[in-house]
Order: sequence, then structure tokens, then C-alpha cells
Amino acid sequence: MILGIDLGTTNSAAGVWRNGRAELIPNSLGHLLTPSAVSIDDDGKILVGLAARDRQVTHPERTATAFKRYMGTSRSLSLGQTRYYPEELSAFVLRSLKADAEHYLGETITDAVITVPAYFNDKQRKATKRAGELAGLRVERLLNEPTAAALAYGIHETGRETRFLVFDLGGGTFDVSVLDIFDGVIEVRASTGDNRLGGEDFNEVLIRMMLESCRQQWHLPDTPRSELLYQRVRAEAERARRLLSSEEQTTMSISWNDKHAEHLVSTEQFERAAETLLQRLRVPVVRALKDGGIDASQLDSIVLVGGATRMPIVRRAVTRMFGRFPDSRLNPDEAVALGAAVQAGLKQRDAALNEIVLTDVCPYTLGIEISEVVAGVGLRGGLFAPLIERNTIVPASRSKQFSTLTDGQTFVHVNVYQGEARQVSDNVKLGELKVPVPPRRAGEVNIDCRFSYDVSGLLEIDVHVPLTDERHQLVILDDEDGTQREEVQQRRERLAALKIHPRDQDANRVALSRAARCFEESLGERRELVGRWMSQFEAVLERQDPREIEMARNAFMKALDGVDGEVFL
Amino acid sequence: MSTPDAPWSILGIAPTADGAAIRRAYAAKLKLTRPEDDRAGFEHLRAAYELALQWARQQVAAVRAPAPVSATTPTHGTVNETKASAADPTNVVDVERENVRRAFGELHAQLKSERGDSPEASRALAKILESPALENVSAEQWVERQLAGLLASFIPASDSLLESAAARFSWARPEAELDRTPPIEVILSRLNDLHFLDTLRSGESPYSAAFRGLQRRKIPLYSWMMAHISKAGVPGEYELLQLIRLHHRSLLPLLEPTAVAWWDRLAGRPQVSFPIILLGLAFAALSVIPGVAIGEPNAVLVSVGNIAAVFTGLALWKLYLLDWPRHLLRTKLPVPPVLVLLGWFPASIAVVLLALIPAWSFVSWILAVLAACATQWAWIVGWNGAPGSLQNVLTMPVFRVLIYNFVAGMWWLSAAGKMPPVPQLHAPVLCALAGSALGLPMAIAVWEQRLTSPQRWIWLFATSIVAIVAVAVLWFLADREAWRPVAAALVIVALLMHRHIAAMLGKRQQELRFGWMVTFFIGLIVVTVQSEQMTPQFDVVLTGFGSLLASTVLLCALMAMWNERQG
Repeated sequence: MILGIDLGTTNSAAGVWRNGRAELIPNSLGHLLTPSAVSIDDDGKILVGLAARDRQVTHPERTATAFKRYMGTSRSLSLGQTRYYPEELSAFVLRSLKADAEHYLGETITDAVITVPAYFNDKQRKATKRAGELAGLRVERLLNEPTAAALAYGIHETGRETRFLVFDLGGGTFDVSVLDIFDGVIEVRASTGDNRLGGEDFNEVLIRMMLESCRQQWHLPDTPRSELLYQRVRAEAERARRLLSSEEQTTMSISWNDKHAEHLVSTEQFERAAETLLQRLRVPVVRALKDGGIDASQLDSIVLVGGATRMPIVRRAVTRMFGRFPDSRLNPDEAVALGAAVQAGLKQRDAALNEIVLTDVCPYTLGIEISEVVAGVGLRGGLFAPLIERNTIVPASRSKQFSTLTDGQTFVHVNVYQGEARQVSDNVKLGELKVPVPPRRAGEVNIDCRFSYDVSGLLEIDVHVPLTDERHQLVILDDEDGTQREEVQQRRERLAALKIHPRDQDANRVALSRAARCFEESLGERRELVGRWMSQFEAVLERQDPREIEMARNAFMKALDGVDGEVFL
Repeated sequence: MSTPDAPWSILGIAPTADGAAIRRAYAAKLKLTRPEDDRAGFEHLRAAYELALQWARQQVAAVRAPAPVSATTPTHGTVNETKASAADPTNVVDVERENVRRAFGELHAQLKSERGDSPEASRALAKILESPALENVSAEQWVERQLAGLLASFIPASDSLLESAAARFSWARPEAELDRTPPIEVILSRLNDLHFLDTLRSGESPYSAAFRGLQRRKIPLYSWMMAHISKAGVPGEYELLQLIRLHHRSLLPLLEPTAVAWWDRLAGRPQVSFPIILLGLAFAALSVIPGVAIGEPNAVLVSVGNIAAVFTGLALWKLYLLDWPRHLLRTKLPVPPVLVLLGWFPASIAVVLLALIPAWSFVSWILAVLAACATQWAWIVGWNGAPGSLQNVLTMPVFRVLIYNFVAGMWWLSAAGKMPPVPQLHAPVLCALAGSALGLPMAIAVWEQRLTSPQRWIWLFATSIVAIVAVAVLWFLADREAWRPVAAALVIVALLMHRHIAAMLGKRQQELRFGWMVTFFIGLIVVTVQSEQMTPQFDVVLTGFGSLLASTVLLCALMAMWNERQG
């Protein structure tokens, strides 16, 4: 069975296609969503999910969240003494999802479909694939998140012709796709996005608001800078943002170093402060419509996906943009994972999905760097020559011929870029290839460049020199493939050596992490109370009676609900 | 897909203009060739599908001819949302849309009336851009399209309208560069032009002086001399003209047409035009003055030879001596530095020959004249001094003219047998003179460019030393035939070092000038030393040199003054 996984910035989820429908898999706590957080315990064990997320407040230096933002970069995050790459941290999350699925389905899982933001570039996709491998999963396919959401939505709509737009505002990325469904074909017409915009940015707005308020209330000359305080404010901002989904106003309150600060924030205030973010939402929408050749008025519905679209201010912005109310049939948090499960079903050749075909696009333009001879000026270098235009249906291969520029040239450097600007310096460099050519006069040597882009969004480049009939190949970033494979192996071993917190004790761990956070966040009597509950619960744990533990834990959690509101995901 | 019916056979249908039928056929085939399983098959099918759809669209377009573009209504689709309550955002916006449409009409009228930058127009534009109706994506797209089209077809006189529209829709974003529509391109290029014009006018741009020059009428001879001698030189006007032609075409009407035509005539290569001849004549005359002054009959002969050689020398030198690698490769692109270096060899060989052939032979005489003229020409075409102050104008050209004419005068005197036998005592003085002739202009160039790298100064110093040594060796060994190749080799080393320094300084033209100057200077000394009929007439040299100096300084001062008055 293939597992469909939504590896999100804030939360992850997994699903499978079973009995003719997509189904999400609950984790050890019975939740469908697992926070994408990894923490390392005092005794060196790895914690994943809710327990780890609560430790973000109490042990920020031993906990990592939002690491998806650094996927594909060499930036590593430290957990305690060791540093981990984002793909390793993602692998922990994937491993935990895999364990949940194996427990739930009662069979071993080896294959997976993992979703990535449509705007992920080749490097980021490769990193995601590596994360899957590190977690012991064979990644059958990488699926674009808005496409996955569209699948989850479209699977019920295949009976009729329809056009819709998927507005996917996740924790860290924003994607927009325009889709067309006809005769069982789910066709992505265009996909664009902003991979630096998400719910976390909205949190940031509230964090800044709160920190500023702290500065004023505590009469500080500067906004206080402390990692611990920041994390606590962050958790508070997150909660306030969620509360603002249902209420008109809420209070953020912070206790730190025996000081206390409160800030009352209303929806309007939040909306004003987030105005620039809301404006940034428009750009990809306009571009997706333009690229897809569809007018906003021709859309049958607007589908909102991603936890951040729960925010009323975002919903209002969308409503204003399209002059109509968005469709909210799908649970925005679960749609992507459900879509991944559908794709897993498609991959498994499930009979129920026989009449459905999905075609996706390449969301950005891919090409190489060229120089041109400009009359009167001479050579102008650093220009971008697109080969695969953005929103070309994939898989696609395109080829173009280029020729040498100077007499006696012996090499041609093929620099591969991704982006939309005419100057390559404004685009993202993906790789390079040095192709030897026979020395001839300028323009006499041609080279054929062929770009092949597959359904997972991975790029391959072939360069053919007709004069010598030589062929050169560049699989992006795989020039260090040899060393990398070894490294993957090494890292897998390193990860395997780490102890993961026992699955059956997850719930207890969550309760304790949460209590520890509440303890730090509250003051006075309340703090004492939480402390007392904690020692009571720990005493129960010592006795190791599962039934007693479960009862005590339920009581404990309920008590904690009274302290910091219900657990949110 | 070589035959036109191939897409239809792949889709398995008969040619049709019915888009729906094509889609159905594609959908049916797609289930058999899934993109994940049959990649090549899918790529073929997709290509066929797109080709078929394109064909169908063309058919439909041909039948319907010019389909009316319903661009006048930004409102469609959303109207059928019937739940119009107070909370319904569609309702509020309708009124606003009407306002936007009205503002459009107003803006159009204003732009059409050629008073494009009137406050009414800005107000109308502001009304459009700030309208809440634009929150609707489809309305915004419509406004963007319409506005771009309107502004591009009636470019307003002031750029504020264009600027605010471009800022509102962020047209200038580099990542959107590849999909700008033609009207947006027009507007952006216009904005770019206006911005460039602002910097030209405000004097912030290094081209500001050149821009003023291009707006003036050209007086042929004077302007030509100015172009080469004064500050209105080449990184000025011609370069600016090229820049405007390439990137800022809309600024062309602002330039003086005769100035543009004048530069176009001058830019052809090689230029043996009337002004060049006149200038050559002037220089030849200058070098003859001292001879005439002392009443030497040979002076006339020499000046005739000099003038004749100006024309031969310039063509030969410019076209073949230096540029031959380029001609051989038949390319207009910059040739690699190694080949440029090679280009020096014929010139160097000519100098060596000059040094080796006994004095007073006819060939030697001709070669010396050629070298003199080539120097002259190198100076003329090579001049590309930066625009600068009166001080610059006075110092640099005067210095160069002085050196050149000194050299030419010395040559003439030696050719006429009037050169004094310089006592051995004076040898160090001469060496120092040669060294500074080489080093000082370079030092000035370095100082002008504010180059502070010590490495460059070291090179500069080293070249001067080599030049001094070369001259000294020539001086002491001139009468020993066997040592002449050594002396010649030293000359070549000095030349190559020059080339290197010039490359470091990034000024090839300067290198040409000074390289030739040194070449000639050393050749001249060899010829002088070899001459055995020298009689001591030191006062004649001084007179000649003094008159040269005076006339040159006068000429340059006059030019500078004239230029200042014009500016």
C-alpha cells in the first residue's frame, strides 16, 4: 500500500486510498494532524509531534519547528548538541507518520507519495525525496500541494465540467492553482505561488504587536530580545490568531521574568497590521489566472486549502478578490493529505480511479544562460533563454539549439536557471555543465540542449554536440551523486541509531510537555497548581499501570484545558 | 507530427473545429496513455491536442472574423450571484465599477486632448487606481489591460501618470519580465527613458556634457577638433548616441539632427576626411616651423614628405599594422588579448628595421617619416580623453602635442643634418628625458584615474627604468654593429611592458599612443647617433624647440578658451 503524505510546515498528515475512498490515518494520540516539530529529550530520545511542539516553548534550543522552510538549503538546525539538516528533521516526522500508518493498517509501508509546495524548486524537491529515503520510504512521486488539494476536491466533481481555483495558504508557503476538469481529466492549467508567505508570517505580525506592547508595558528602550520570550510570544500569537477565527477580539498575555504584559487585539486591528501580507496574496492569484487563460468570472468555485485560510481576514480578502464566497467543503488542513492519498490510489491502479487522469504543470520557467551580440554594443551576457516555459503540462521535454560566440571556443558552459526574469542574476541557479566543443569560428558549432521535466518535478538536461556527436547529461545537483549516496547511507545509519520515544507513551509525553509549558507560562497560584498536578501524574506513571495511567492522563489533560484553553492543531 | 493530419490520427478523430470534441477525444486517449506510465506517448498526445486546439481556434476565428472584444464591461459572471444582501461584497462594488468606467472616459479625453499631464488626468487616474472595485481580481485585470493600452497609445507628456500606474500594478518587477504585454513594455521603456533623461539633465550622469553637445549644431572642423582634443571626446557624445539608439529610442527627437548625422559620418572607419587632412597639415606645418625659421631649404621637402606620409601612414597603421589579426579572422568581435599582442609585431619589426638600416639611406628616411606619421595618427585616432575641466584640457593634450612635436622636430633636424653631436656627458640627461617621456604621461593617467594599487606604480616605474636602460644602451652601443640587435630587443621589451601596463589600466588607446611615442623616440635617437655629419648647432635646436612649444601651447589654449565660451 502506498502512503500519501502531506509534509507541512506546521502540521503533517498521512492518508491512504482504501475501499474506494481516501482516508486519513490517526496518530498515536488519535489526532489526524501531527505537528511538524522535532525535539530531543533530556535522555537523548527523539520526540515528534505535539509533545515536541510544546517543548518549543520550554526547550527552544532542543526543539525544531518550521524546518520545511529551509528544505534544500545547507542550513542546519541544532537540537541539543547535534546539528540536523532540514531533510533529517523531516525524516523524523515521516518516520513517525509511517509508524502510525503501520500501526493503523497493520502492514509494513515501503512506498509513499509526498506533497511539496508547487513553488519548491529542484533542490527542495530533491531534499524532500531524500527525507523520504532517510525515513525508509521509497518516494513514488512528489505531488504539488495545490494539485493534491485539487485532487481531493476534484475527485467528487469528475462527473461534470468545471473550472476552479485552489488557494492554498499553508504555514510557510502560498500556492495558487487554476484547474479544469472534463471527462475525468483533472488538468492543472496554471500554478504559481510565493514560497515565502504563509500562516507563520501572519503570526509574525501578532508577535511584533505583542513584543512592542511588552516593550511599552515594561518600559524598555528596545524590544526585548530573548529566544525564550520569543518562543513564548510565538505560542501566544498562534493561539490568538486561532481565537480570532471565531471571536472578534482576544487578549494575548505573557508572563516573563515575573513581569506580565497583556495586549488586546481585535480582528480589524489584525487586518490592518497584516495589510501588506494580504496584498501579497493577490499577485499569484492574478498571475495564475493570466497564465491559465481563465478569467476570474469563469471560475466555478474557489477552494480554500491550508490551515491559514481559516483566518477570517484571509477569507474576507479572498471574497473581495473574487467578489464571491469561497467554497469551504474541504477541511483546509486535511485536503492536501487526502489528495496525496488519492494520488497514492492512482499510483496503485485502484479500480475506482480508473476513469481519472491527473495532469500537472511545471510552475516556473526553466532555461539556460546565454549571451547575445547587440549591434553597436557588443556582447551582452547573463541573459535567460527559457526552454520549458512555466505552466507547461508535465512531463515535458523541450529542446533548443545554441551556438558558440567566439572564435576558437573550446568549452560551452551550460548554466541552468529557474525563474521569470530576463537577467539570470534575478533567477535561481540550479546547476551547471561544462561541455567541450571543437574549436571553430564563432557560430559554427551548435549545441542542442534538451530539458526533460518529469511528473515529480525533477529536471534532466541533455546536451548534444552534433559536430562530434557527443552527449552530455546533467541531472540537476546529482554531479556529486556518488558522495551523496554514501552520505545518505551514513545519515540513515546515524538516524537509525537514535532512539525514538516509545510510541505507546506518546500521550503521556504530550501531557507532560504541555504541563511544563503551562507551568512556565503561568504565575502564582496557578503555577503551583500545575506543578502539583505534574507530580501527581508522574507518581501515577511510576506505578506503570496502563489503566490507571490513562485515567489519570485524561483527568490531567482536562485540568490543563482549564489553564490554557483547548489543545489546538 | 510531420504531416498536418498527424494530430488528428493521434487523437483518433476526424479534423474538426469543435473544441469540445477535441477535448473529449483527448480525455479518452489520456486514460490509455497516462503521463506517469507512458511518458513519450503522453508528450505526443499532449502536443497533438494542443496543435488540434490551436487549429480549431484558428478556424473559428477565421469564420467569425474580428470578434468583438467585450472589454468595456469589467463586470461579468459575478452578477448572477443572486444572494445580494448587505454582507454580499459583490453588491457594494457595482457602484464603484461605474465610477471606474467614468474615470476611464475622463482620462481618455484628457490624454487625447494632448494635455496629458493636467491635474484632471492625474485625478482621474488616481480615481481608477484607488477604487475599491479593483479588489476584485477580474476587475483589476481588466483595468490593468485597459490602462496599459490607453497609456501606451497616448504617452502623456509628464511621467507621473505612467509612474503611478506602473507602481500600482508593479509592472517593473523583474520576475514578471518575461510575460509583459507589449503596451506594458512601451510604458516601461518610456519610463526608463524619462528616468535616463532626468539624470542627463540634472548633471548626475557622466553623459550630461555629451548630451548637451548632442543638442548643439556641429561646426564641422571645429567640432571635429573638439571631439578629439577637448573634453567632448568619445565616452561622451558618440557613445551616448549609441546608447540612446539602443535603449532609449524615444529620446532621439530631443537631439540635434545635424549632430546625429555628423557623428554617424565620423564613426565610419578608417576616416580620411577633410578635417583629418587639415589637422594632419597643421601638425606637419608645426614641425616644419623651426626649419623655416632658420632658413633651411630642405624644410619644404621634409614637410611635403611628412604630409604625404600622414595619409599613407594612417591607413597602413590603423588598418594593417595593428588590426591585422582581426582582419584575418574577419570578425568584428573583440579579438583575444594574445592576438592583439601579436598585432604589435609588424610595428615592432618596422622599428627594428629603422634602427638597423644605416642612416641616410633612402629607406631609412621613408621609414622615419612613416613612423612620425603613424605616431601622429595614433595620437589623432587614439584620443579619448575623459570629459573634464579646463585644467585637464590644458594639461593633457598640451603635454602630448608637445612630446610629439618635439620628437618630430628633432627628427627633422637630424634628417636635415642640423642635430648637434651630444657630448657623452649629456647621455644621462637624455636617458632621463626618455624615461620621463614614457613615465610621466602614464603617471598622469594613473593619477587621473585615481588608481592607488601599488602594483601599478611598480610596473610604471619598471617600464620607465627599462626605457631608460634601452636608451642608454642604444646610446653607448650605437656605433657597434653587433650590439644593435640587443638594443632592438630592449626596445621590444619596453613596448610589451607598455602593452601590459595599458591592459592593467584598461586603456588600450593610451597604450597605443605612448607605445608609439617611445618606439619613435628611441628610433630617432638611433638615427641621430648614427648620423656622422652632425655639426654642433645647439642653439638651433633650442630655437626650434622653443617655437614648437610656444605654438602648441597657444593652439591648445585657444581651443580650450573657445570651448569654454561655447559651453
